[in-house]
Amino acid sequence: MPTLRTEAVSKEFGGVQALKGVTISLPAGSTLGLIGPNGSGKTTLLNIIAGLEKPTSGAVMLGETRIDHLPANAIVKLGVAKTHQIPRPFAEMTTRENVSVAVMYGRRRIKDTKRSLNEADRLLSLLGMDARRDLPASSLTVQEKKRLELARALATGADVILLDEVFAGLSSDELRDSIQLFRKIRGEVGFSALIVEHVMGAVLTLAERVVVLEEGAKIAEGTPDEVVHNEAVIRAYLGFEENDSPG
Amino acid sequence: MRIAGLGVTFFGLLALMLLLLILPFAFPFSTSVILINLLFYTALAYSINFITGMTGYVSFGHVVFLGIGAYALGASADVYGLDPVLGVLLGAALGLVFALMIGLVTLRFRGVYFAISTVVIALAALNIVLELPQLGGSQGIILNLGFQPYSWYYTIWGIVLFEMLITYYINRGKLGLGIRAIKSDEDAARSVGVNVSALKLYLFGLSGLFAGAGGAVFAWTTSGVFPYETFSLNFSLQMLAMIIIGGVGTALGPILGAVVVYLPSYYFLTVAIGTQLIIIGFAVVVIALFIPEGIVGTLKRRSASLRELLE
Repeated sequence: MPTLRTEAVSKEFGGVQALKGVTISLPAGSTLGLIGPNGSGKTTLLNIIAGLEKPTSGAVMLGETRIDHLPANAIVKLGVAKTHQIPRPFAEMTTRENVSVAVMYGRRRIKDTKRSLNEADRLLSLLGMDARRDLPASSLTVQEKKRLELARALATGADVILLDEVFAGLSSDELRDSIQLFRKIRGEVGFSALIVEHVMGAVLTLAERVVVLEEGAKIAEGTPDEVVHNEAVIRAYLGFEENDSPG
Repeated sequence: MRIAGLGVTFFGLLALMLLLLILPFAFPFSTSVILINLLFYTALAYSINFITGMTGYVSFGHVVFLGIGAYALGASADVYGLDPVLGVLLGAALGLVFALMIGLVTLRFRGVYFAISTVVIALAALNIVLELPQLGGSQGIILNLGFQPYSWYYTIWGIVLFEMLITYYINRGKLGLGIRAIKSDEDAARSVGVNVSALKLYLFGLSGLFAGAGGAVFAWTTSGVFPYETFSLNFSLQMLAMIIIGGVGTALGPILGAVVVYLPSYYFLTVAIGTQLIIIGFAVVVIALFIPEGIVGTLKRRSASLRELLE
């Protein structure tokens, strides 16, 4: 399982600097949180790692391999998979067929239909979705669709998984369940995780280290505890300027 | 998804093809001429099904491959005296090559932009041919291949059989699953590792190959190639109508659609002259509005028992 690194990645969209030389490192088997206010560049960084966008400068390395020039489907075959912030199931296909596509076309390249369906069933039961197996994916609830995103990412056989706001929009009960489920899956399937969240709760619970982005630049990095007490982070989240005095 | 052995639809289609194999011996020539035309339209329907039916990329100018195949046979028979069966193979090969070249560019467009690009290419192809004296310009090429109903019949029969088998091969395995994912959400398909561009090009190449073969047979049966008739957008519209009515992407839909669209044309040609395209257009609009999955798709959705049987 290789280390995933971004090296001084910058991205410009028509004159707007979405990312300014961001360097992060995700060692094998670790969990890194990536947080920041809206528009701070989190999703852009994730899209660049997953090959959905090309960086303007800088590099993405998987172990010794440079991957930022590869198309998204090739990056999946190297073992890096991403979930979508807004779930994008294959609506007309059943839940197990959805997962089965990832089993067959992902890193493991299983050709046999029956074997791939069995593997899809195993993953769905790990995620507690047995009962949804034969339903069209369009009929799932939002939370189930988010789980399906995770199931598909796992099904590709990835050992680096990029989670884009999988914990957002859940009730506090659902959030607790999801965090427990995530820990259980980590226990059974080993992978490194890069967790992007807008809200901090889940990230601070799950991540070993946290990177904070603001306006495309990395403003802090450390353990969850260090980060929440970092002045720059507090300022970014609460929006105080140097010469602003509250009240 | 059916995993185990081949189903009722497969054996039904196989039985139909075997029946069609011996039918010309049981009936007079006039019947086999109807059957040749029916199989010709069936071949066109399966060819466009590979790209438009399976991926949802609407190839409005699909007639361009029919035209390329027709001119391949026409020019090779006219200039080099090539055997028409070899002319059909040449038409298939050129259909494939042109589809790969055109697809490499146009398959980057999505939705309506792809559809427009295919129409533009078909119109451009017609105008290029009109300017080429080697291909007879606006006069076209008049061939003298004679009346060969059995050769026509078994050539087009073979083309349809190949198309059916390949449709099955694709729909039932890994390829079919990936293609359905592309049709549903191209970007999501890419994000689970599906090589979207390669699969689309593969299907477009197949559809060009078979439309080219069909076009060559068309030139052979009409014993000539005439630019305005060969590149008529009516062909494109009829191909689309057949798969929309029959059921896009399915193995049974194209032949069903060909029967529904083609057989009434005898009535239209003799009684209600000139109204055929109006009626077909109306039927397509009604079906697209109310039963967008076509005959096969709708039957599968309405009835659980048919879902298992129809493919």
